[in-house]
Amino acid sequence: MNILGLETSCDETAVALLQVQGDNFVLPINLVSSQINLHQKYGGVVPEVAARAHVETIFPLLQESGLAADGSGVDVIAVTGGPGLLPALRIGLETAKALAFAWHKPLVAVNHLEGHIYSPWLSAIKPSFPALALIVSGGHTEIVLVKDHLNYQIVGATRDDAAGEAFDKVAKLLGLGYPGGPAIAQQAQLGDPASIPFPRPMSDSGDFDFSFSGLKTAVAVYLKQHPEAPVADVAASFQQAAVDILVQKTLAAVKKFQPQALILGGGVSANLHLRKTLGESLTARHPAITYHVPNLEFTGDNAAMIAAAGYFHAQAKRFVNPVTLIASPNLRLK
Amino acid sequence: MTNITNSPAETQQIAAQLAAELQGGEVILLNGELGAGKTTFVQGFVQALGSADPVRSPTFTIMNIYQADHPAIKQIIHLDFYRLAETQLQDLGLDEWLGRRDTVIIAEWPPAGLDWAGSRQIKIQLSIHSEQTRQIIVS
Ligand SMILES: Nc1ncnc2c1ncn2[C@@H]1O[C@H](COP(=O)(O)OP(=O)(O)OP(=O)(O)O)[C@@H](O)[C@H]1O
Ligand SMILES: [Mg+2]
Repeated sequence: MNILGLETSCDETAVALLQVQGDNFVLPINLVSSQINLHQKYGGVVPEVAARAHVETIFPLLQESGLAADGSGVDVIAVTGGPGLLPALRIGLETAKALAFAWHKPLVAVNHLEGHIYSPWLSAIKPSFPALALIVSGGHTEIVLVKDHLNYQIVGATRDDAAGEAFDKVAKLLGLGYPGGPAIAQQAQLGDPASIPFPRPMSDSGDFDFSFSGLKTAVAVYLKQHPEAPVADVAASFQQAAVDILVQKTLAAVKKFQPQALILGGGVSANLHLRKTLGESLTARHPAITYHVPNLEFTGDNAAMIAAAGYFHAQAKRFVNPVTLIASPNLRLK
Repeated sequence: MTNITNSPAETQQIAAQLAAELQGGEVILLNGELGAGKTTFVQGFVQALGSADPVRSPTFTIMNIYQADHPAIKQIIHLDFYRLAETQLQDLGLDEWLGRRDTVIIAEWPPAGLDWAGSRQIKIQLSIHSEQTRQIIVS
């Protein structure tokens, strides 16, 4: 089966073609165009400009992809239906609807979080079920129990800020650039992670929920009191606290739900310290559970993961009507 | 009116007191540095208007909508302009909500000079005094 994936829920315009044969997932096309430079130019996101950039990018990407103009070679179209920014989501969605309508191809709508959960299917070794997934990005911090394909239960989530949001905001406090994740990780390598005892909020809460606003604020207050603090030490200590919380809660959920596989996904899963620490802690305590992290190119937003999740929608015949499908900015995973 | 609070719960109480005085149609503008407690304030505010919806930071989502359970107010629109630049309210799809008596809008990091279409504005200034202490000015 060949799945065309489209993703425009946030800052990336992405197009992918995924070929699935048995367990073999191949990507003849995988294109991502980011708007980060645009945001840097304007000093932030301008929704109108962002939506226009998606419009101006998506057809050139389709053209560059070499996809046949009559849609031959495509069996199913998969598109992100939400959550995300409405003006951005609409562009991918309307494009997918128009193509499905014109080409007479079946259409599936994928939840963006689902895409991140399915990103390890793009690698050779696939997770088994039940699986537990930690999805961490700018907008999300969720622990999801995946009992079977397309069967999700959110067992923990942030109560305030997402983990990636805390990375971005702390980077800004430290005068590092945007996006904050890579900037913090780079500085952290040069600093001492044990130098500042930042709090690990909610570590004793007894559930699988997170709070990152307390950690963000602890860094803000610390910097007011210690304006001369070495940036690298603050970055390293913050990153250590964030990773500790994520690993601790995820392993508590692993203990409770006893999955076959642990999945890490989302933009923050590009953080090497998190990838490594979570994997090592899992192996030390639960050596039988397999650990799945996407290749670095599939940690951020991309269309390949949307196509991968879309493949399982198509297998389950969960098609949607292109005439009535609308964007859902607050779509929940169910 | 100036308040000093010594915990997130006290900040949420101030928010609840403000919520109790609303009639619907107001716009609440929350200013204050990173970590000052804007989102914490909104949590108390939304709960006081009878919503059980979880209130998370809208920094990435930009707009969260909560259903209220209140005689006059049916929904609360929670905005966050932190990531935005040069924004016009129309671009956010706010036309649908602006000026409605059954809606309150509460915004973090509102830029100066936005056109709130004549809605009554309440300005809240939060600042960090120490780890647990915040100053909250309502005007
Ligand atoms: N008296 C207090 N009032 C409010 N918050 C407090 C108080 N004392 C401590 N805090 C803590 O300060 C933090 C405030 O974070 P919050 O995310 O609400 O701030 P914010 O102003 O929304 O930040 P941002 O600019 O990132 O949106 C919370 O972790 C809260 O628990
Ligand atoms: Mg906030």
